[in-house]
Amino acid sequence: MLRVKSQILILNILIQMKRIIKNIAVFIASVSLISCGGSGNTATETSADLAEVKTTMDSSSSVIFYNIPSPLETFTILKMSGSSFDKKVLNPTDKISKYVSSFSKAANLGAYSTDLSLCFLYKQNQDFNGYLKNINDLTNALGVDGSYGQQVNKRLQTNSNNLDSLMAIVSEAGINADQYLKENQRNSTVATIAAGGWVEAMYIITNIAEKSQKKDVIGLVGDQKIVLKNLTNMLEQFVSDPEIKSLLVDMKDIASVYDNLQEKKGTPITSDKDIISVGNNTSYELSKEQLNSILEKITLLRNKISL
Amino acid sequence: MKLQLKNILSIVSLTLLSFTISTSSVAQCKSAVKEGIKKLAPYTHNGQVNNVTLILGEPSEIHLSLYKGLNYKFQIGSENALGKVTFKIWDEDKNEIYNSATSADPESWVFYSNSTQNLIIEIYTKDKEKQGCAYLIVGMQQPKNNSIKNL
Repeated sequence: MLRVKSQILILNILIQMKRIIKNIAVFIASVSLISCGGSGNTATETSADLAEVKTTMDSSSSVIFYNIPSPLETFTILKMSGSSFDKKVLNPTDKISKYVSSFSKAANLGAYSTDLSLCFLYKQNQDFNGYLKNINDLTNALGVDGSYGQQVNKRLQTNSNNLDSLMAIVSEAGINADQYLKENQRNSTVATIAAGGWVEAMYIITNIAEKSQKKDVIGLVGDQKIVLKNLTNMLEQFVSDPEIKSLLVDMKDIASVYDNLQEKKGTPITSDKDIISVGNNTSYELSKEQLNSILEKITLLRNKISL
Repeated sequence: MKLQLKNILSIVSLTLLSFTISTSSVAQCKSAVKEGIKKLAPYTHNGQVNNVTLILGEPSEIHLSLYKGLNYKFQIGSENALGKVTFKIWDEDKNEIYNSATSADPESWVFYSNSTQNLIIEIYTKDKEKQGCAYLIVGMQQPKNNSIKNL
């Protein structure tokens, strides 16, 4: 509590400084290692600028955070396409002993969490339990309190035959672990877990796209162009960490394939009654060569992480 | 083939360890977040919590990636100490597409995402003298009238 108050005090001081020196880049939230400064506005505003105030974002006064879709969202789209479960594309549970460094533990905690989400959606109970054990072990190894304590383990044992109950407990524990890491200013660990989870999800959907040649799944891979942009922005904030810097190089290599994608306008669609439709109704189409290139690059990156 | 999301709607949240990026957030937010997750129903929580610390009326921006083909529900809230919060949503070209201050329900917004897109959510305090934790949580639902096949 005391720490939070002191952090708030520091932020207050920083904000006051920003107001005085308006053109100086913005406040670095000491609470958050991951704030990425918005660009500063010019000090002098013309009347034309002022006229646009209502419709233009003032990023100079904001602290910026990035987030990507959860594995559950990605695999929901995958399942909607009619794709089947394929255990062969998951990271085997017996590899856990290879994950020794903190980076490796965090990245593979993300990867195993992604695998667990897929097992959950496809109701693969036996596999689900294997990934659950690994997640438990890696969370403990990373020194995360408040998530997989004895109480949680007891609840897991009591509900061991009910996949929905297990997932609810595990998910709640996951949120607690996430909060714990943030409160302890371990945001680079949080980012590494998120990145590891994305790489695993990307590896899974790209393999399924290549094997099935389903248009919807290839489209899902194409749409990662948008997701990857947010993810790289997120990771840029920790580029001083050599392992994250290396990860970023590989992700930008994947992003380079997406640079050449053509935007395709879709047919206008009708949303559910009373629900507003948001977006420009576009998607990205991958050629077979581009899909193969992404598969090759994501396989290399995934092998680096999962060893 | 049709995903039965309804079967799992009772689950508080489904994605394990879907870690998000936000401030080193405060514990006081936890109970508020739990209430927020309940308010997502019948939408399924995507498993992530985006929380930010708001100070002296300074907004926070959250950049979120959303998939085409799903209905989404944004739910925002805050700890009591902060008071009410409002939010604006912008597309990547910085066009404002929603302002909760003018809405009948200023804490939530439901929409269908017709393209995979990055949206920017700006969260503000109503009372600029107050400071504390605010959150944004996201629920999702498969549309009834269409599937990804139509896209």
